[in-house]
Amino acid sequence: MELRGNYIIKPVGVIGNGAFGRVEKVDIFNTAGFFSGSYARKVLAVDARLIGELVSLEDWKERFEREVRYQARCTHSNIVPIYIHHLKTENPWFVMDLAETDLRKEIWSGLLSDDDKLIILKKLLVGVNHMHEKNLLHRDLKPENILKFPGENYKISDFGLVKNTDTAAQSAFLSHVLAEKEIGMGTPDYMAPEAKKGKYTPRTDVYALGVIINELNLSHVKGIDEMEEKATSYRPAGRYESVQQMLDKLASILTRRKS
Amino acid sequence: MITLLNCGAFSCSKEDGRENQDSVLLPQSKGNGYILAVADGVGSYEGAKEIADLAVYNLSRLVVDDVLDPNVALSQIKKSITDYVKINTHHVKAATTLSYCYVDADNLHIVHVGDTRIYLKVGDKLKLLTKDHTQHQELMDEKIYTKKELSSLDGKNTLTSAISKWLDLKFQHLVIPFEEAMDNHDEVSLFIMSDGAHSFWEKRPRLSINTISSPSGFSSSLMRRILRVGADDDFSLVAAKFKR
Repeated sequence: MELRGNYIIKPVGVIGNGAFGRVEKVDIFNTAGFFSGSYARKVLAVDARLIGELVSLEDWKERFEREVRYQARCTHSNIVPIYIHHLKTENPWFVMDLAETDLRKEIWSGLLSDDDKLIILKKLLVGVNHMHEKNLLHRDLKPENILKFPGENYKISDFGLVKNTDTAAQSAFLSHVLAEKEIGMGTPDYMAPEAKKGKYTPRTDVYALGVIINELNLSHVKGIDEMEEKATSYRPAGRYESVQQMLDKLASILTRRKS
Repeated sequence: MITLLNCGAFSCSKEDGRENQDSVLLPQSKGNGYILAVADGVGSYEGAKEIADLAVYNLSRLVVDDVLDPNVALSQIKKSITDYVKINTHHVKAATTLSYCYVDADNLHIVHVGDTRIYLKVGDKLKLLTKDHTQHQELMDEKIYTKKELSSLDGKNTLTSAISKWLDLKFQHLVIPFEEAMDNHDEVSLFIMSDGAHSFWEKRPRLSINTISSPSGFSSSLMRRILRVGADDDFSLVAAKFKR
């Protein structure tokens, strides 16, 4: 049990474990003892092997803080919200909604209809578009990071690699090389060719969205292949300039489908 | 044997009173030839100057056989850096570029890591011999972006190779027969510049034939050009003309 502000947080189980920490299921009560609901809590607990001369524990904490700051900046129905956090502690944490499942498992289940998939795709694009409007790049879009919540609600999560397009960090010397050496960056299958070289722009997220479209297996829907092909063009110049353009394309696909 | 006919050099900090993180090796007689170099300490991390100086100092102490084998030369320099940061732990992330030439009567040996550049005089122009180890260069090599597209994107100076405790050695090595490098009168003129200098040269890569034919004259002209506009980084040049 842990008191934070007006709430008492009670861990009830571990949902997942990784090198950077764990996600717990927590029950939250107010100080009067009333149950407020079940949530997920992400706790930073970095594996000792990831702490060294290049990346210190403080660096990891800063990165976690950045994740919370950026995610909290995106108040949107298709982005997982952060409700409570505690960053100035040995193992920083934040509380977010408890997901039912993720898109990867949904795809594997084979239960999604074409309409379901198109609705999910739209939600995903709307969420990423919102991030880009906030000058944020996700940099690790993949079905595992698209979470499903009650009411067929899908939201983008895991802001661990999010970066601000305004910062000069992109030009920092060898930041990519060192980061990759030490911690690994992104997920290769979803990384645009330039992202593998350390270059990120909104079109690197467009590429990842194209790969996700491919995984949704909607080739038989007219216009989808064209959309996927354009989004995953080898050269960024050949891709959609913005996620808004993808939304426009999807709108035309949906219109054609209805008629 | 070869003869050093003329040389010119400068190595200056971006602003007066600021630490200069470049380091240069003026033409130094070694065996039957000469060695010259420029190292540019990577400014983002502490210890940039110390590491650049260390790289040049260790290069100057190598025997000719080691200089001619970049694997040996760079490994020894990397080891000296690794040993240094073991003691000076606050400099643990430091790194440096290094470009050097060894010239003898038979060949020009070019070894290059990072974004310092080596040019050879050909007629009234300078021909770039090295390829930058930068993100932009790699993106162009892979045909992901065109030069024009990259001009509006940042990351121009983001290195993809440098000498550091943490990075595997990645270098460019060229051996050019002296005859092929010769310009007028059996002479070879070489110019090594840090990025703070070559960025100015590349904006207007022209000087009179007399100036470009004289490393000392070239050095004065380029330095004046940089000072007139205002440096945006530390800037260094080592230029030398040799005759067989």
